[in-house]
Order: sequence, then C-alpha cells, then structure tokens
Amino acid sequence: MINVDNQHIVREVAQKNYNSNIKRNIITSLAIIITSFLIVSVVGIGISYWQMISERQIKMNGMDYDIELTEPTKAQVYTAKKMELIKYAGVSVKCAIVNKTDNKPTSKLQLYWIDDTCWNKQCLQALDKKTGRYPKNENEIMLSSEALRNIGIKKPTVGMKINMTYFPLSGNYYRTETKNTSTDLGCIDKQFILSGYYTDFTGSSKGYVSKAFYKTTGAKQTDFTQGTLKISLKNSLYSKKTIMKIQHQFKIHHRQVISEDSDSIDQFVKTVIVLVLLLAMIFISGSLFIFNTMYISVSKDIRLLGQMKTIGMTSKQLKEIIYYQAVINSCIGIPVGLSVGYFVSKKLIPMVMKMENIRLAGSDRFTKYPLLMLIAALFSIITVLFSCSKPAKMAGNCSPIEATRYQNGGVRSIKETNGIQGMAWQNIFRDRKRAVIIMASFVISIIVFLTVNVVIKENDSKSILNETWKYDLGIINEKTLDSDEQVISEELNKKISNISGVDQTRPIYSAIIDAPYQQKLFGNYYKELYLSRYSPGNYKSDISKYEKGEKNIKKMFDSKIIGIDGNELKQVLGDSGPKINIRKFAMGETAIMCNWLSLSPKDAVNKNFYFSTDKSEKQNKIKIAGIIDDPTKFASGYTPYIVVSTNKFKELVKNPVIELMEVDYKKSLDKKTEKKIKEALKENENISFESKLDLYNDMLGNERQIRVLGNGVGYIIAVLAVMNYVNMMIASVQNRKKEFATLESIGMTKKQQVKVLIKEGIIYAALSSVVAFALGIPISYVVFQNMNIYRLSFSVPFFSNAVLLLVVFMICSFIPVLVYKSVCSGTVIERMQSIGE
Amino acid sequence: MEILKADNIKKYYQTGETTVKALDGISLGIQSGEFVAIVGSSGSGKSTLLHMLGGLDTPTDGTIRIEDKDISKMSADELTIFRRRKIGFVFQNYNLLPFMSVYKNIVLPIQLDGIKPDKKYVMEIIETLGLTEKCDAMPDQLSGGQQQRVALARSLATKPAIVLADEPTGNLDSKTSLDVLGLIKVVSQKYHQTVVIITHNDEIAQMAGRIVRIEDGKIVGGI
Ligand SMILES: Nc1ncnc2c1ncn2[C@@H]1O[C@H](COP(=O)(O)OP(=O)(O)OP(=O)(O)O)[C@@H](O)[C@H]1O
Ligand SMILES: [Mg+2]
Repeated sequence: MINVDNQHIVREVAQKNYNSNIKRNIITSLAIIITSFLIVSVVGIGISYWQMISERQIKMNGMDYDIELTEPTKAQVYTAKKMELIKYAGVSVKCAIVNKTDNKPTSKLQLYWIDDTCWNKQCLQALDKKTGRYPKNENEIMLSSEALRNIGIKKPTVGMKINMTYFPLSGNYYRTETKNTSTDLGCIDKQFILSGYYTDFTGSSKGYVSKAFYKTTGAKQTDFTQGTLKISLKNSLYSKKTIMKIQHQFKIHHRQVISEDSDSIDQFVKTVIVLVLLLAMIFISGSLFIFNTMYISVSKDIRLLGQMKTIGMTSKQLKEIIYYQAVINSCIGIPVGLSVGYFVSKKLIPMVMKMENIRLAGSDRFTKYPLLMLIAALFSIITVLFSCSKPAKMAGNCSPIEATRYQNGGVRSIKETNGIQGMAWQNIFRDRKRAVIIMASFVISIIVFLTVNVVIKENDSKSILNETWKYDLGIINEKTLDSDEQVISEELNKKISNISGVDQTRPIYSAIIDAPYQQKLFGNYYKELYLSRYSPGNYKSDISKYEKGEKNIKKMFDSKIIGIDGNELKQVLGDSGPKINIRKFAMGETAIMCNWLSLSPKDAVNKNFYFSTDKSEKQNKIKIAGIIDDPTKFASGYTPYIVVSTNKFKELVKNPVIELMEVDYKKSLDKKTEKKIKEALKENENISFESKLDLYNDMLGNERQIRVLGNGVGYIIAVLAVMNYVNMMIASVQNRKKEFATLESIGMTKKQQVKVLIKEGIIYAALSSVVAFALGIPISYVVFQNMNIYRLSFSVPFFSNAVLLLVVFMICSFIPVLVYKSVCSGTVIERMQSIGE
Repeated sequence: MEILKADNIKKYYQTGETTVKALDGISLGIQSGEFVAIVGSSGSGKSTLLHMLGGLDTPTDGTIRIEDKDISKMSADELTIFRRRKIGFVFQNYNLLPFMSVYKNIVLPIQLDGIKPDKKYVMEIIETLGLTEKCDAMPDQLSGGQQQRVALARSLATKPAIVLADEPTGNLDSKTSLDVLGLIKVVSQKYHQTVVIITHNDEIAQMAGRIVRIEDGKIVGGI
C-alpha cells in the first residue's frame, strides 16, 4: 500500500471546519477557560481562606498547643523536653492578680509568666498584632488589648508607666480567689513599665511579666491551678493512646491532669472528608461544564463529518478533525483560564484587600501556584480529550448514511402535544442524555455554591461571636463582693434600657447566702468534691465541722443566691436546658441550681434547698427544678449556687444588688448604641465591661481578610453556575439557528420562538433549582455539622440563595432573548441556508 | 383581483469582486385563484424569486405587494404571521423539523396560530398524499419523496391563500407527480386558492393556467 501524504489535507479540512464553526468553538474555549480558571482560583483562594480560618482559631485560643499538663514539676518539664512525641513544651504560671490601676478597681486582670519556649513557639503565632517585646526587667509588663481597655488606656505606648496594685499568688489559691484579692490585705503597689502590648482573639484580660517579677511573687509552677505545661505534639493528630503514653512517662500524681481535645482527630477526619467532597464537586462541575459544551458542539458536527465520510474520508481522519478542534480550543482556553485564575487569586484579591485597607500581613499564604496550575491544566486537558472521545468514536464508527441523518438525540417519537405549549419541554428532552448532563453540571455548581456559602457563613466571625456570646455588652459590678453599694442601680438599668438601639437589659442580682449542711441534697457532691483535684482538705473532719456549724468551715461552704428575670431565664435555659415550669419559677415556688463538678439532676431535682439570707437565722427552703450553668461572674463558697426569679430574690434579700447586667442590642454589634451606653456609664468607676463589639473590633482586620477570601470563592462559584447556564443557552440557541429559521418560514413568529426559549430556560432553571436545593440543603447541612466546631445552629442562607435564584431566573428570561436576537438576524432564507454554525 | 404584485424586483449577491444578479428586474402579477408555473434552467433564479414572493428573503430593490400590502413594510413578525395564514411554502429541500413526527410537522403551522387543526381536512390531505401510514414516523425515517409529500401536506394544511411550491414533485415518480398535482389543482379550485409552482417537468407545467419562464434573473417568456 502506498502511504499517501494526506496529513496536510486533513489539517486543512480541520482548520476550515474550525473556522466555519468559530462561534461554537469560542463557546467551547470559553468553557475550558472558565473551568481552568475555576480550579486555579477556587482552590488557590480556598486554601488561603482555610489557612486564615485556622489561624483565627489559634488566635481565639490565644495559644497554639495540643495538650496541657497542670502543675508540672521541674522533672516533668525536663522529661517533656526530651520526649520523642513532643515538639515543644512551654511553661506558663499565673503569678499575680491586678485589682487596682491608678487606684481604680480592675477586674480579672491576671498576670502570667511564660518561658521562652512558650512565648516563641506557642504564643507568638496566636497573636494578631504585637507591639514591643516580652518583659525582661522586673518592673516590665505586657498587656492584652482587652486588659488595656479594662484599665482605660486608649492609646498605649511602649515605655509608658502604669501604677497598679496587685495581689501575688503565692501558695495554694483557688476558687475563692476573688474574695482574697478583694481585701487590700497583702496587696502590693507597683509602678510597671509597659514593654509591649498585643491583640489576640480571646477577649481575655491578661498580662505577661518577666521572670524576675515572677520570682518576687512567690508563685510556683507547681501551685494548684496556677502552673501549666503547654505541650505541642510533633503529630498534632493524636490518639488516646499517645496521651496514655505521655501520661505514663510523666508519672503524674493524683491532682494533676492532662487536658486534651479528645475529638481533634475526629474533627480533622470530618473536615478532610468535607473538603475532599467540596473539591470533588468543584472538579466534577468543571468537567461536566466542559463535557457538556464539547458534547453539544461535536454532536453538531457529526452530520457534516458524515458527509465527509461519504466523499471518502476515513474514520481516523474524522477523529483527527475532531481532536484538532479540541486541541486548538484547549491551547486557547487553558492558558487563558490559568492566567485569569492566577491573576484573580494572586493579584486581584490582594488588590481588593489593599483597597479595603486590610493589612496584608501573611496574605501571601498559598504559594504553590505552579503546581496548582499544572494540575488544573492536566485536568482540563483530560476532560477535553475525554469529552470528545465519545463523539469522535461515534463519528468514526457510524456509517456515512447514518451520519448524514444523525440528529441530536436521533429518532424519538414524541407524544402528541399542544403545538408550542409542549415545545419547550420537548426541546429540553429531545436529547435526554444531554439534558441530564446540562442539568447535572448546573445542579452541582448550585450545590457547591450553597455548600460553600454555608461554610463561609459558619466561619464568619459575627456568627461565631453571636453564637458564643450570650449578650452584646456585659456590665459588671466590680464592688459585688466588697459592699452592698448599688453600683448598677435600678435607675441606671432604666436609663440604659431606654437608650434607642437597646433591645433588652437583663439585670442579674446576687448575694452571698449561708447554707447549712444538707446531706440529702449534697452528700454525693461533697464526696466528689473532696475526691476531685479541687479538694479543700480532709473530708471527714471538714464535714463534721461543717455539720456542727463551725464558723470558718461554714463560711467555706457559703452559697450564693442569684436573681434573674424572665428574659434571662429564657437565655440560661436555651433550647437544650432543663424543662422547667416557668410559672412556678416566676412565682418563686421553685429555683434552679448552678452546676459545679458533676452535680447531677438526679441528686438535686425536686429536693429542697435550705438557706438563710442577710446573715439572719431565719431558714428558707425552696424546691429545685433543674440544673444550669452559673450565669454570674464572682465566686462564693463550695456549696452550689441557687437561681431564683427577681421577685423572689427581692423578697428574700433586703438590699438587692445587681452583680451583672446583660445588654442586648436591636442590631448585634451596633457601634452607636454601645457608644451611647458607655457614655452614660462614663462616671461610674466601679463597673467594667465585657463587650462583644470590642472583641469583634480586635478581630476585624482578620475578619475582613477572611471575608474577602470567602466571598471571593463564593462569587467565583456563583459566576461559574451562572456562566455555565449562559454558555449552555448560547450553545443551545446557536445550534438551533437553522431550526429557528425553518420554524419561522412556516409561520412561527420570533415572539413565539423567544417565548418557547424563555419557557425552556425557566424549565431548566426550575428543574435544576429544585434538584439542586433538594440535594444541596441536606448536603450543606451535613457539611455544616461536620465542620461545626463552634456549635452554631444551622440556617439556610436565604438571602444569598434568593439572590442566586433571582439571578438564575433573570438570566433564563434574559439571555435566550439576547442570544436569539444576535444569532437570528438576517433573512429567513439566509439563515436556513447557512451551513454549520 | 390581483392578489400578488411584484414590481421590478432585483436580488444581487455580492461575493467578493463579482456580483451575481440572481434576479434582475422582475415584474409579475398574479391573480387570485390563478395556477402559475415558473420554469427555467438551473440557476436561473426561480427559487430566489419564490423566496421573495413568500417574504422569506428581501429583494435588493423593487416592491412586492400581497393583498395590496407592501410586504417590505411589514415587521418580521407581521410577515411571519401573514405567511402562516396566507402562504403555504414547499421548499426545494423540504425543511421538515427533524424532532417532530410527520403529523406534528403537518399541523404545526395551524397550531402556531393557536387554532385546533381541522382534523378531517388534514387527514384528507394526508390520505391523498399517501402518508397515512407514516403519520407517526419521524422525518429522517422517510424517503426523499415521502419527505417532499409531507412538506406539501404541511403547506396545504393551513388552507393558505397562496401556495408557493419549489419543485414539489421533483423527487416523485411521474404517476405520483401527476396525482399530487391533481390534488393541488383540485384544492386550488375548491378553495379558490392561488398556486405558484416551480417545475422542470413540462407535463406539469402544462397543467398550469399560466407559465412564466425565467432566464438569468429575467422573465423571458410566458403570459
Ligand atoms: N446566498 C447566495 N449567495 C450568492 N449567490 C447565490 C445565493 N443564493 C443563490 N445564489 C445564486 O443565484 C442564482 C439563482 O439561484 P436559484 O437558487 O434561484 O436558482 P434556481 O433557478 O432555483 O435553480 P435550480 O433549478 O437549480 O434550483 C444562482 O446563480 C445562485 O448561484
Ligand atoms: Mg431552485
């Protein structure tokens, strides 16, 4: 056989064919561009986003470590530093509590000393901002932004002097800590020099001091609840077994514990599964997008190619023609898509951040773009080749006559329908396979959008703060334990609730009460208390003294009565709290006990609690209806506290004092309202604030970055979903140009055709939306629950979904008309006689 | 009554340097109820003329009036509706819709007008054209001649004022051709329908009331 050189003629035919189908090829290239773009940008931005989220999580923890050993001995620290499994082990010791700054009360400002390892390897990466350095000299101090706010320093400068009164925490000291510090006994005045300050996202009032200062306090790392060893493991995905091993090597004594996050590995696995699922969906939707466009395009060619076969072209040559087009389209599409993707994720997003004035620290997170682009390119090529392999085979295999007769979807008789009424349905399902592919790619992109949206919403700082904070602003009476002074008076309460923007105020009253020994109610609890690491001493002797009513011991077992209103009751009960009879509680017939250790409802509920108020001898009793967590800030003695209604509280306590007032705003994180309240309380020195807004402001820079990245991913996916649809509509109209002309020739007006097109579009949109939402909402729910580390409640993001739906339906009625107008111009005959396209 | 009047119509195609004068100044009037045959050699401009008369294409110059209306003044949709109601067109290459059954193809123009097809009448045409068996078939399952008959049936189904047929019997054997022509003639007489056909068949041309001969885009004979 003579091998004729016909390669060039095949190439020429292919080239001509490509040019004559230029519009269709543009559409195909566009699909390839979008898919490559999607992969590069979504994965690139997605990874940066994920890194930001993980960093925020560390910053919300305030320190980056895996497990914690309480009260470590020197020997244990030494062991830890040598242990194979351990990467870093840093010591942290709480050594003093500041109770006054410039002679004004300061609440909960705790001073810590941490060693170099802890500071450098575990602390630094958890700080969002840092100015200055860790204290070196004995009189140096470093403060958190929350601490600075608390002591009223608005513009801190390194080197500024701060006069503080602190209480050194030498010796054993626990639970009743605030009581000890409230008296001035043992307190020391000192002028500190601010060596630095920092912001993390813990919202805790904390200060760091030098080793020299730490030595002066007399606190030791082995002091109960004060010293901890923060341990970063080499493999942060640890199992129970690893912990057991470490515990064994430490030889821990009975009061020590290793605290661990036991489901960290579970959480990791869940997250990985979810991310892989999302990634798979993104890849699938991309590949379906290409496949769909290619399939439509090449099927359209088959008739023409069949004709070529009748004039003597071989199957192999036909396949070459098909692949030639595919390769050209890839050569255009992939580089363009990759560059646009790179540009958007590497240049546009940082630019947007710059415009929004976001610090760019660490925004260059994801750096492996070359690899990502390679993967995206390979993926697109494989999809393209796969997508035309079937049509190519079809073209190659079918007989020339079949090919000339080939119509998309071939022969399928359609049930009698009412003229143009059924035309839209008929058009959609003319080729079932194609309809399914189009729908699938559309459905998947909507699902991805829904899911990504939920993930973004779930990781929004606002949602996290709203879920983890019970109130917008907590106003704390710093004199609670010292005096019966009405720091937060009823008038003040009224004044604040009258501020516009305030939704409600929830005053919480409290008073210390005496509780006699109550074996029936607390027998099990006391036993457990003395067995726990918080054990106050010798069980037998203490309890017998308590029973006898010995003054010192009895004081140790003081309780506290808390008065709350109906709104606060709703808050503390929540959705998962105990089911109690609200009416009886409000009437003062029942009370709720606060949880401490493992006080079980079985022991307490329906039993009576005996107590006396105002140091009187008169004994009261009240029935316990349930158990909740303590809503207050200050501690009393060892006996669990009791919560009653405000009315009952006022009946029992002569001088009711508000310990804490919780304020909710009409609009969460409302700056104006918060400013007004703080303005109103400016004169009041004896209160301190716990503000969700302050913490949010600390997080704002980070939050903006997260939002830009997250929204970036969301928008890109939304654009893909929409583009996917637009491309499909263009292809669909483009491919039916001739058919439309024929219909027009027999009397179907353009108006009627547009109507059918719109109807078709809406059917597509409706069907795919229904399927997408039916699948997407459960899928996004599963994804949400699997990533739900802050235990937020799931809600469908109605707004963005509605916007997406609106856009989809608008495009359905808009794009077909537009495409139709641009494609179907010229006379009927011209269009009927046009070849290809 | 003159139902159709073409006045000095020209159609020039510009391809690169050369100008093809497909129609070069044709004036033609057709009376209501007339049966006209257009003849001429291949490439002489017959199909082009028919497209112009049916408002499927616009002339480079000249006017066409149908029922005293200038169709060049009509909007595209007006023209389409006009065509749907008044004109039955049979294309040289049939132009059936591949995704619809034979029956659906035939009744589609009626349905497009929002009217229920006169089933008895449609079935009569289908029967006369020998398509009864093929009603549920799809166009690509039919032979060339069968497709042509479907196209003809479609053009007649709406009872149009004018039937414009481009070689409606080109693919049929001579007996069937004459049968079909007979049908067209019967229908045209019964409904006082105007018919214009293009044909290469002299026998068919002779059945027409009038013959128009075209060469090189000009009328060269006929009455
Ligand atoms: N779109 C076009 N562009 C350029 N020239 C065209 C076009 N359409 C038709 N022509 C030319 O116009 C002339 C008339 O064509 P037309 O189709 O009317 O011929 P015809 O008489 O119907 O021939 P036949 O009997 O073979 O069907 C031909 O020379 C043809 O090449
Ligand atoms: Mg012709």
